[in-house]
This record gives sequence, structure tokens and C-alpha cells, in this order.
Amino acid sequence: MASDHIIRKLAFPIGLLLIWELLALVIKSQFILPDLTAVLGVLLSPGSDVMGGGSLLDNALISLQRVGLGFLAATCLAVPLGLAMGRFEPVRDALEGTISALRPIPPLAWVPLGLAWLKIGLLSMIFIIGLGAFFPILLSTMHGVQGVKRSWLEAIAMMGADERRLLSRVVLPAAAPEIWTGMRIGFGIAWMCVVAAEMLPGANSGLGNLIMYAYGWGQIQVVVAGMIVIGLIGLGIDRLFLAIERRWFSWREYER
Amino acid sequence: MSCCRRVSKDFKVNRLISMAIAMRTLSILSLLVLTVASAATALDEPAPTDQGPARIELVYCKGQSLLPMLLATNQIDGYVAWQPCLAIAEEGGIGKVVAYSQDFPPMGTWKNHPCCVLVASGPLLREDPERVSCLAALIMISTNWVNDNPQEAVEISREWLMGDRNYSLGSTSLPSQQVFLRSFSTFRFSSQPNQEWVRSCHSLISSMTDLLNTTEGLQARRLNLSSFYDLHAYGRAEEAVNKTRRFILSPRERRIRMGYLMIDHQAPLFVAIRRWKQFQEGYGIALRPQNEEMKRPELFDLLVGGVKVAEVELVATATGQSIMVLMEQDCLDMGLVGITPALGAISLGCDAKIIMPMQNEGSGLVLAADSPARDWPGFIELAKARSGQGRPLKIADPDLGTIADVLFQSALRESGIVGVRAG
Repeated sequence: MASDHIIRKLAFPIGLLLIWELLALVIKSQFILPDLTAVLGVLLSPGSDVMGGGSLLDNALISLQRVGLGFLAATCLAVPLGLAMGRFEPVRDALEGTISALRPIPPLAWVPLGLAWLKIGLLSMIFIIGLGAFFPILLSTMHGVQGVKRSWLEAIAMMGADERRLLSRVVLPAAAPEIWTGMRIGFGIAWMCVVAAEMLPGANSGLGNLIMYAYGWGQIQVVVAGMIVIGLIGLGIDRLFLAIERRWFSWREYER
Repeated sequence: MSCCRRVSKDFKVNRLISMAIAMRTLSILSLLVLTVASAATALDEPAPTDQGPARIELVYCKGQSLLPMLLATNQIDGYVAWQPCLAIAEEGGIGKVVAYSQDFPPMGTWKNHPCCVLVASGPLLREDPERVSCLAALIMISTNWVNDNPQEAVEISREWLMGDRNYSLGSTSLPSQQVFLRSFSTFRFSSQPNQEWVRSCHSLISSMTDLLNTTEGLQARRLNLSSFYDLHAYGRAEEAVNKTRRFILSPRERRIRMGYLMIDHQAPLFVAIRRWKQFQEGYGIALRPQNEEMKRPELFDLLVGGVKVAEVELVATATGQSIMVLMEQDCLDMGLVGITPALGAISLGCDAKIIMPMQNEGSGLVLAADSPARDWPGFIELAKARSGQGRPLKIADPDLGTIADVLFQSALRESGIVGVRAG
């Protein structure tokens, strides 16, 4: 029954909230565990300024703007590169080693170089966020392109298609679901990067910045409210990606 | 061709083709957006404004470490900070101090303003006020010693903070000795909460109320200004140091965790540690490191008349704010912090009190070495001119709510300039 389904989905989160409130009552310190009402108070007035650090809403929008731009930059670079690496073995051989070596470096480790090369400002943020999103998208694209069914490629080649048509009519669309998954993962990583990058010197605004600022003044309820907003935004966007995937790529199920 | 069309239907290539087109347009759009965004950030100029008050852009940097580098690479026009950051700019030849904080307008308000103070948590003050006085007395003795022996104090601080290292500014290396000598000459050490100091505190509280929108906090708790400090501990400490040379301490031993900052303003602490034997002999109170081999010991025995009365744990933190938050979270009992983090935290409900001053003044405004401004009025003139041209001055700031920031923004308001947070 639909209502059972809903109850099951809501039971755990509601249970957590109850436990939180109970613990807060027991611990009795706003600095160790702020109570639910304090956090809700912050969440329900997202437009009000936090001690001169800007409002929750403003800072969320700034973080979203940064992540959006960084993500786009990463996509524009990773998809063509992944395509090339997936289709042409020489390219793959040339780049794979370097890519694999660079991939484990956490984007935040690039912050000092990013600030030094690109100065304080939007561009260095885009660089860090772009780095976070780049590798998942690149690898998924490459993998998706490599996995395109040979039979499809042969069929189109038989009909006399040149490489360009091959790429645009078959390869790219066939790899699209996997590219999209890579983009979804990449966005998740980019979102984590933006918040963490904002906690470091070099950012004056954004959710990560607001959280560290509020912590400095002991406003832990703002910290928790900020964390909830970060989680909700991440969840929302992830769901958006999934919804689009269901709509565009349902044909995958026919692919047997 | 009919065969293609048949193939199309079978493989649902129609859908794939539209996918391809969608992808292509998406990538073109993204490239467009990216170009626009890059152009936008590259230009990065705020709109010229003739109306309204003159503005400068404040770049908050979460600490002082980036400030000299930013100035040296021309990303900012200047910065406000506390020592030794001002000395670094001068020693490195990249900037000049156009005004020290005690000279910020309104003239005379900030003379001898508090900077670093000793704070103690409410619980410790209620449970064991005598031990608090003990440590206060030690800092008091040390502060006086620093005033009497400035050269040695500089050397001890330098050794504690920098060891063998020098400050590096890009590829230049600045001898830390020079930096500290210059820095020390610009501020004062004093443990006396005299009238000037108290008045300054009051002015700071009202400046902070405006800056941080904390009026609600203050009003809600109905604090009066003397809720911020507890001078009884100071009184007992002073009595002990100058008259009785005795403390009446409960026998139960105790661990006191004290936070401090790695800046030369806190020289009295470093002196108390390095010269503990001298203090032991001369004053009967000392902070003896448990492990003398360590370069920067963390655990100490607090000795009064040769008897251990407490174990003291020293914790270096990055900011005064962290110390206040850690005190509220019951991770620290006392701290040597900047006054504005202390005032701010207490007004927002932190259960702590300011015990005693330690160091006053020592902040200022630095502008690039080749800047036309030479003093505060010159700076204001420059700020107004640049604002009118649509290129407001970019001044970096360690963090909102630090002493340098509060004084600077208060002075800006006084001079009719609005500080706008950048990016």
C-alpha cells in the first residue's frame, strides 16, 4: 500500500529527529548539541543575516553559483576528452597514466596552487570545483564510449557513416547514460568540494564559509542548520539527475 | 533511404539522434556560459558609483597568513592586521603602516586599547578562583618582566614562535629577529585594568554591537558592561604579587587547560615558561615544563612556593575565537585571547569572564609601499577617489570580529566610508 511505503520512508528520519531532541534535552548545552527548535528557527528564517556574515539563503545561492560554473567547466573539458580517450587508443595510452596519477589527489590539496595561479576570486573556486567533478565525468565518458555495442558501430559504418556521424549519431548517444551517471557523481563531489573549499582561506562567502564563521562565534545551531541545507541541496540535485535519467535513458532497459 | 529508416525504427535511433542533438547543444551552451562567466570574473569590476557614501572592498582571509603574500602579489591595496604582520610588510619593503590602531579615528578613543587579555571559564572561576588568581599573578609578574627586559623578551618570543626559521615572503627571507624587534616597539604590555582600558572596552562593545548585529543578544541577556569582566581574581593576584606573596589554595590538585595564540603579543606566557627557574627563585611562583627536552612543552607543573598546585596544559590554537568556543565546549578552562573574540563570545552567552589585560595596541593599517597615502586622512582621501572612479580599494582583513577588523570598521564608519564585503 502506498501509505505503508510512505511510513517506511519517513519512520527513520522522524525517529532520528526525536532522538536528537531527547539527547539535546539530556546534554543541555547549545554548544555540544543545539536543540531542534534552535536549528529550526534558523532554517525557517533563511533570509535573516547571521551576525554580519550574510543570510543562509544568500550564501546558499553563492555556493550554488560556484558549483554550477565549476561543474559546467568540468563537463566541457571532461566529455570531449573522455570521448577522445575512449575512441582512440593512442590518446588513451598517452593520457591514462597521468590521469590515474592525478585522480587521487584531493581537490582541496590544489587550493594553495589554485590561489597562487588564479588569485582569490571566483576563478580559483571554479578550478577547485572543476577538478572535483572532472575525473568522474572523464572516466564515465571514457568507459561509456568504450562500451558502445560493436554491432551498432558496425551497422552504421556499413551504411557509410564517417567518423563525425559515428560519434554524434551513435557513440555519444549510446554512451550518454553512463556519461550522465558520471555527471551525477561528479556533481555530488563538486558540491562537497565547494563547501569544503569555502572553509579555507580565499573565500568570503558561501555555505562553507558561513558554517565556519558561525562556529567561530559559537553559533552551533547555525552550523547544524547549514549542514542540513547542504544535505538537502545535494539530495535535491541528485534526485534531479536521477529523474532526468529515468526520462531520457529508459531505453537502456530494451538493450538486451 | 528506406533501409535506413527501417533500421532507425528498430534501434530507436530516432531517440538516440535527438539525444545527440541535445548533447551537442548542451555542450555549446555550456561553453557559452563558461566564456561569459570567465569574462565576467576577468572583468570583475564593481559598477562605478557617484551616489552614496564612498566604499572600500573588504577581503576576509580567515587569518593573517595570506595577507603579506596578497599584498606582495598586488591582489590587494592594503590590509589591516595585528603584529607581527605589520612588521613583516615593512621589513619586506612591500608595504608601509599608514596608521596604527591606537590612532584610528575617533582620535583618542583607542589610545592604549586592549588587545590580548586573560580569560577564564565560568565553571573554573566558580570552583577554584584562587588557582585562577595564581595564574593571573604569574602572567602579571611575567608582563612586568617583559616591560623591564624588552630585548630578552623579543628573543624568547622569537625563539618560541619561529625557532631557527625566518619569515619568508615569496623568495625573500626576512630575519625573524628584525621583524620581532620592529613589532615589539609598536605595542605595550600591561596587566593593569585602568580607566583608559575600561573605557576602551566599553567603546569596543558598542562598536561590535553595530558590526555584528548582536544587539538582540545583548538585550536579551540584559548584560551590563561589567558582566564581561571579573576583576576579583586580578585584585587577589595583585595583592599576592605586591604584598602577601601567598596564595590560599585548596589542597586538591587540578588540571587547568589553557589556550593561547602563536603571536608575539603573548610574550609574557613564553617568558614565564622559558624563565621559570628565575621566577621560581625571584617570586616563588613558576610554570615548570614537565618535559624540558620538548621544544614547545605542553604540560607544566604550576609551582607555588616550590609545591605543585596544579597541572597546566597549554594548547596553541589558530584564533581567539576557537579558544572561546573550546571553553564553552568544556575543552579549555582559561585562555589568552584577543579582546574582541572574548567580548563577542560572552555577549552571545559564553560562560566566561575577562580576568586581566595583558597587552594593548599593536594593530594597524598597511598600504602598498608605493601608495600615495601616508596617513589616515590620506588613506580616506585615496579611498574616496578610488571609489568615485569605480575601482574601490581592496583591503584585506583577517576575519570579521577580530580586534583589527572591529577597530578598522569603526574608524571607517567614523570617516564616512562603507566597508563592503568582497566576493
